[in-house]
Amino acid sequence: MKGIVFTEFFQLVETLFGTDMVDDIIDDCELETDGAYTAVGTYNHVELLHLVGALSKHSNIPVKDLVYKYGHHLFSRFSELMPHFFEEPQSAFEFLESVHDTIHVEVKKLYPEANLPSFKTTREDDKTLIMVYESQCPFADFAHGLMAGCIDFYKEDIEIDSEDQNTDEMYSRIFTLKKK
Amino acid sequence: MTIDNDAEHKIERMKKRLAREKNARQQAEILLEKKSQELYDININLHENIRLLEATVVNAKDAIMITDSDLVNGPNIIYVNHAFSKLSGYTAEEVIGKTPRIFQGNATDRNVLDDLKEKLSNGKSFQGELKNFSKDGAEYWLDINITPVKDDKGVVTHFTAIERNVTERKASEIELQRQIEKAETANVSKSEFLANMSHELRTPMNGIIGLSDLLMDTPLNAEQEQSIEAINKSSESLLILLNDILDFSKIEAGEMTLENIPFNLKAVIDDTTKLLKSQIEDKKIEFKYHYPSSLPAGLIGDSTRLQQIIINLIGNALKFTDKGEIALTLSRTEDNMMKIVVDDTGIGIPKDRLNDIFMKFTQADESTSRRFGGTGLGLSISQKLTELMGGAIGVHSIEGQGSSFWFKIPIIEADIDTTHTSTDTRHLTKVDFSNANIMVVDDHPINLMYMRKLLKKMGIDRVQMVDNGQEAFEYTQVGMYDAILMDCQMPGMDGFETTESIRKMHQGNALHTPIIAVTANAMKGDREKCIAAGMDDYLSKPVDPNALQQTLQKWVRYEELDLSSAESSIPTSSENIQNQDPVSVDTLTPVDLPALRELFGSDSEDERMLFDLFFTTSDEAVESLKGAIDSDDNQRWRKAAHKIKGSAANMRAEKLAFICAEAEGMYQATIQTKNSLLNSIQNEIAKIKKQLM
Repeated sequence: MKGIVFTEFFQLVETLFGTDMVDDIIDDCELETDGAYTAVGTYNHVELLHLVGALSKHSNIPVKDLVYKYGHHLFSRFSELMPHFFEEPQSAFEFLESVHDTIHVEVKKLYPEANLPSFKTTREDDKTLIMVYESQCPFADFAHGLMAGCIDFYKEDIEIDSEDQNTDEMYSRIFTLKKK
Repeated sequence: MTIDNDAEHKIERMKKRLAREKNARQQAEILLEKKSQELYDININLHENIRLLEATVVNAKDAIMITDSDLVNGPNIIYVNHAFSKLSGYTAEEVIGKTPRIFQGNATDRNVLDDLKEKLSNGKSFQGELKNFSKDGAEYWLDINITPVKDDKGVVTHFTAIERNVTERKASEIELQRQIEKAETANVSKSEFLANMSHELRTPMNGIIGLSDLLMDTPLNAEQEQSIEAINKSSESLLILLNDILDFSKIEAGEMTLENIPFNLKAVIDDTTKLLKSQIEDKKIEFKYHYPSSLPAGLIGDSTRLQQIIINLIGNALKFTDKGEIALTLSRTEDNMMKIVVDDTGIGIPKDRLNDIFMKFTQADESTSRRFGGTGLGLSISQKLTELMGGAIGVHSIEGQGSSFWFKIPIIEADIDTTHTSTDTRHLTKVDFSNANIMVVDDHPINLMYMRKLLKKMGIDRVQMVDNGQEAFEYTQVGMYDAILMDCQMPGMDGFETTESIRKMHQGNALHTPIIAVTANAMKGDREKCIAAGMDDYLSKPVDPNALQQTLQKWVRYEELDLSSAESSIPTSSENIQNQDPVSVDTLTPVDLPALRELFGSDSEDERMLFDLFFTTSDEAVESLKGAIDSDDNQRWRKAAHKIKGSAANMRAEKLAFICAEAEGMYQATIQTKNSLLNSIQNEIAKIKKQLM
């Protein structure tokens, strides 16, 4: 997992719960990195799971909600940090459709070692987009939060339904996005 | 927790935070260093690749141009190499930012450009030849390969064009093509000349043969008789040569068409051997002939041409065989072909000449033609004919022992009545034209009547007879016809003009009435002339009923009738009078009434009308002939003779037709000869009158 996900996570925890919370959750976890992350590095995603778990314990907020919330937040950060990805897509659907074929292609160029999830999309009709999340990592809720962030970014009214299709090899969730 | 403890705890946390920050910074530095090294390596690689590509592109012998992909306003040139500048005369600075259209001119092929644009618009590559112009206006030919360059999303961003100067190759290609065309034109002209010449020569030759025949019937002394016989024989040989040349030039010009008509095979072969019998007997050579029962009685094909091949091969064998035998053997091969072999015990052919024996104007050696005569066309014609029939021809020979010529053609069986043994018995599929409405245009009343009878015989009752072009044109303005049979030579509006007027009138609407030219001309190019005037097909006079039916079947809707009723097939009209065997003419009765009645039926009123018409027109024409002699008007003579010839042929008055054909051919003869011809014509008409009245 890219370091930016860790650094942005700490930023958010610091903003919402204060600096001490960051120290608390790092102290709670056995981390190979000892909690030292740089945005350009690549780290084991399990560390993020530990950190979120610790935060849940400290804040009494379920892990699922935390991860979703973080995804939502990270999307708006992306729009600030990487504005070039937002030049072409004019709507939430268009942006989500560009993730797999454009954004992830560019990320791979920069970080060939990055292990990215797959985000295949199909337009069922003008109002419906099917997005299939597939990954080695259990971050479907995180993806869900990112999608919600995307919809809010484009100020659209879209409902997201999801259904897990996990297998032994793969975490998979089918998201159905319906414009109202 | 005490204040000290709290402070200590905070310090401890600060230390940890600092350690984390330091750790993260060190990680970032290591990563940065690693990335820098990677970038450095990539840069080195990139430079090396660019150096290679540049060296390739910049110094390539072929001209290379790169443009952007703006096909609407551009494309705009963004790069050209040295070779390009050298070829076009423009420096890179002069062309960058411009469109490649600056290299094109009026002489640049628009079709190629359209094709190019279409391919590039569809993201496809283009390959083609294009004429371009250099800075100083010189034109040059390019072989261009244009390839679209696509980005990783498949969007075309650029085009690269690799151009090779093919001006020299193109020039030699054009020159080669010009030479080929020149040679082809020369060859066609040669064929046309040969065909025209031999055709023109045949007419006077027929005159010579006919008249020498007539002379032989007059009292002659021995010397005269010998001379006349020599004239007659030589003329006949000459006529055979002329026919060969005519056939050959027809084949060369691709104008030889074969008939596909059922015929009685045995009868054709029997007739052929009969024709050659006297020649074989003259040479005291034994003739063997084997006809197997495995061959079908009826075949579909061109019996005349089949006969011609056999005559050629046996004639050839006769020419080169002085003793021994000639054998004609027919058989059916395993691949369902009919094989015909002519074996002789003649001089044979040297091994090294066997391969080109079928080439035109080729004989075994130069001395052959001196010793044995001939044009060397016979075998070549036979070869082409067998090829046209879908067959093959070949020869085995041992020099000094004899030759064996063979040919084989596919067997297409016909269901025919074998009780008819004459080669003239040609069966056509009986068809029903009874709904057809036909217009016949001819200024000659007998021809009109003849055509009406022929059409009636085919079951066509709705026949509009018109004797001039103007009236024909007027009829087509008000009526609809399934076909128009159009005479070409008519006073006033001739057939060509009439056709043009009709076509012009119907221009723009879907109505197209088939117009079939009916003409006494048999010259090469006539067909083209008729087609050019807007006619659809062509029949030559005298009109052969079979040919008429076949032609109508092409253009007029008909229903096929049950084959079993094909018994009452249409009889063949006389062959072209000029081809008639002169010897047989004398034995004819003035008018072959049975043949005439078979054609016209036995309607006595109609018959009377036909006779009256015939006598009126022939009397008029005889007056014209007299007038022509008096005024020494050769053309008038020719036309009048032609007129009687036509109606005589239609009347089945073959001897009269024959004499008139001679008279027509000899329009430049002396007054004395003409008087004698006129005399013969009048005599013959008198005989006809006697027979018919």
